[in-house]
Amino acid sequence: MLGFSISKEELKVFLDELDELLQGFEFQVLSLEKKVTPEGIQELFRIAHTIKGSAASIGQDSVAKLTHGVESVLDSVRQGKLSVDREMVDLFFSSLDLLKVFKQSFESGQPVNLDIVEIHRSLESLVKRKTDLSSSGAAAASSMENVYDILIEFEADCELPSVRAYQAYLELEKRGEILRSSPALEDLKVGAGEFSEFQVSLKSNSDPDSIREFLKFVSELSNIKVAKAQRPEQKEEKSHFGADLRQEMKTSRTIRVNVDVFETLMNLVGEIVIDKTRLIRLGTELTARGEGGIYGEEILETTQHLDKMTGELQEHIMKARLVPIELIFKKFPRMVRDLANRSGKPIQFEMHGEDTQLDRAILEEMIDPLIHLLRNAVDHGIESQEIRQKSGKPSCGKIMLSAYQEENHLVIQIQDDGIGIDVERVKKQAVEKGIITKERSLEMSYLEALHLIFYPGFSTAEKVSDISGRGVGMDIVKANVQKIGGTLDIKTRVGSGTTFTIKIPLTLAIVQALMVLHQNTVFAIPLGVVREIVTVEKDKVRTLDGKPVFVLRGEVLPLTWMGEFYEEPFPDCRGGYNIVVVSYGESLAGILVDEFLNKQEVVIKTMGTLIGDVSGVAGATILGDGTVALIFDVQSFLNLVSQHRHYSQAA
Amino acid sequence: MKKVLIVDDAVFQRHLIKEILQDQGLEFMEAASGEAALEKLKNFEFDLVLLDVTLPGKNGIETLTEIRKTHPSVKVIMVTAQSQKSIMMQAVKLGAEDYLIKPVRSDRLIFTVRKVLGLKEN
Repeated sequence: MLGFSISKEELKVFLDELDELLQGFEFQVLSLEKKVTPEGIQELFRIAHTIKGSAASIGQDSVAKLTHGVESVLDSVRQGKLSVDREMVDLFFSSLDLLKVFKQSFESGQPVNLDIVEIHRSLESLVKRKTDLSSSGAAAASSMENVYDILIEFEADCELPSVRAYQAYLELEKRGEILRSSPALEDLKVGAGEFSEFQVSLKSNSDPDSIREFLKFVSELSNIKVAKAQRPEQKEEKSHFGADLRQEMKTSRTIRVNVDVFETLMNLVGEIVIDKTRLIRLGTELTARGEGGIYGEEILETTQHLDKMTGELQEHIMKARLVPIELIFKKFPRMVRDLANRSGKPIQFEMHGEDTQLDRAILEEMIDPLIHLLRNAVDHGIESQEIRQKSGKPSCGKIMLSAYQEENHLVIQIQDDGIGIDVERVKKQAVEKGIITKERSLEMSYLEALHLIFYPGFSTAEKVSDISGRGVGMDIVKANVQKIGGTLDIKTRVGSGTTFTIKIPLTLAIVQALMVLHQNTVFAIPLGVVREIVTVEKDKVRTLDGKPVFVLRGEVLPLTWMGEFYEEPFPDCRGGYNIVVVSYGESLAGILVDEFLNKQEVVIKTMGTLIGDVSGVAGATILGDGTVALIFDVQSFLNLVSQHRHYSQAA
Repeated sequence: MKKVLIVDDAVFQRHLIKEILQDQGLEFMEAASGEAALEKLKNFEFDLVLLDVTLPGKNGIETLTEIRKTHPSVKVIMVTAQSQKSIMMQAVKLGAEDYLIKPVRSDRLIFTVRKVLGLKEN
């Protein structure tokens, strides 16, 4: 419609869309390699078709021609004239690479004309080679198919209706085609809040009674109604056009919104939350003083309602910011495949939990650590084929990447069945590299020694390879994870493999914090790192090497106080010491405070460009009375203290 | 006789489950960790595994993943604490037949076990 002159805005939309389409393309081709399904072929066809359309509309004829070629091949597959084989998959991959080149050149503002002659010829010859296959791809549609409206109710005390609904969905999926459901499958998977009934529209050739019978396998369902849909789909057109259009209608319920919009919304909500807290304080005070008169009560009531509403608003915006981890996961199969090919090790790569949701900002921070850990698994984790065979392992190595939600955290695991980490060797190398002294290496605990691999400049690989680089990186992995308030754990067994477990918060915008008072100033300590709060008697606090420590259940833990870094003297106290016990790396440490206040949800605000990054401080938040409280970054604060103390943390 | 493997690190929990299910005509074996469960699965044939989520070493989800790979036909019922119930979606996706939330009601436990094992309602 617009021909060649497209605006910057439109170009951006085009490129964003192209990016998504290419990722989808890659994902589908990869799954095609494993298993051919009519849906997969259809989806690939749709993607190629969409790219073709967009490219043609901005005059990129070579791209249009290339995707048309892909489309023709897929069309033949769809009609059962052609079967998917290695050659075809390779051709799809080459096409994808060309499309990526195109996208990059287009982004840089200098579109190149792609040389597609050769690949187009290959695609065409593939189509011509119409083998006489029995049309296995074309599913024979039964004339007996009916459309049913199914209404499922849950038992009153059903704890997780979304999981039960999901089970019902899986059960029904085996018996026919699910046209739609409410709540939709995507919402169920992320645990769509509360609902009391689940509706499914199913096309199936089973009768109502047997459908009810299938659903008996799912627990905690109370009532199941199966009724023939009032308007059966008589005009079931066989045309692909209809299917394409329906697919588009399905996807058009989403809109594209810039992430900045959410940042702004979140900030605004944060402001409202602050005002709300002030209003509540005002109302309470007025009523308490008896000055509110007839309005006092009403003010309180209104603010309470406001409280509830802002809470919900906050939650919804937070949810809208969440994206499936699939966005980055789907890049990995190709990456691992390429790395494995280059290193000459056969590797089987598995992923789980791609639909787990998390904050976009966190997702971005996770890209580098995950790439690094996966590369490491391929390069250092999995042994060469010969070594594996010698040690009686299957010659094909295995790497598994999985993600799942646990409470308010997201857990990502990278697991390999490779050689494992030899802690003794790690220690030896750390000594050789001058990271620790020999004496220190002898007194280190197993975990401490294992965590040496995260020291800057450490690498256990004797050979430097072009895959994992030169030992830089593991420290970056840990730094990135810690930056977003996460933790990183390793479990390893020599000879049988290593598992890295990353635990990160679901969002960065809001944090549960313990509010404490120090020198009449309020500080917030994120609850994620707080292990417990204790008050210890004066005689339980002692000094070791001239530094304060305290005894907790027989264990000696280092103790610091907020002012230590500024050379404030160690505070004296009457009664006992109030100590926040926090986890620091693999061990615990105590932070001395004047008073514990309460647990509170705080909206994190950045310190702004004027102040910039301050070590030991994760940000600030505004309290109900308008004062600013600093949010503690416990890890970096303790790092500072331990540098300051000039001795490595002795647990 | 159907064979059931009860996996829980707490002796008391295993005991409780056995007691509730004692009249159902089942044969029981126990394991106190995911690793131990996988070992038992190697050496014996089971029809059903009752698998706790919080375990020392390999957790329930990891154990489930492993069982699905090595013994695709054995049925698995997850047992979870209230605080961990959000993982059940993951468990179902990984192929758990059903799940129970602690504290487990005895009628619910019996019903679910019979259903999953395909035993007639009694």
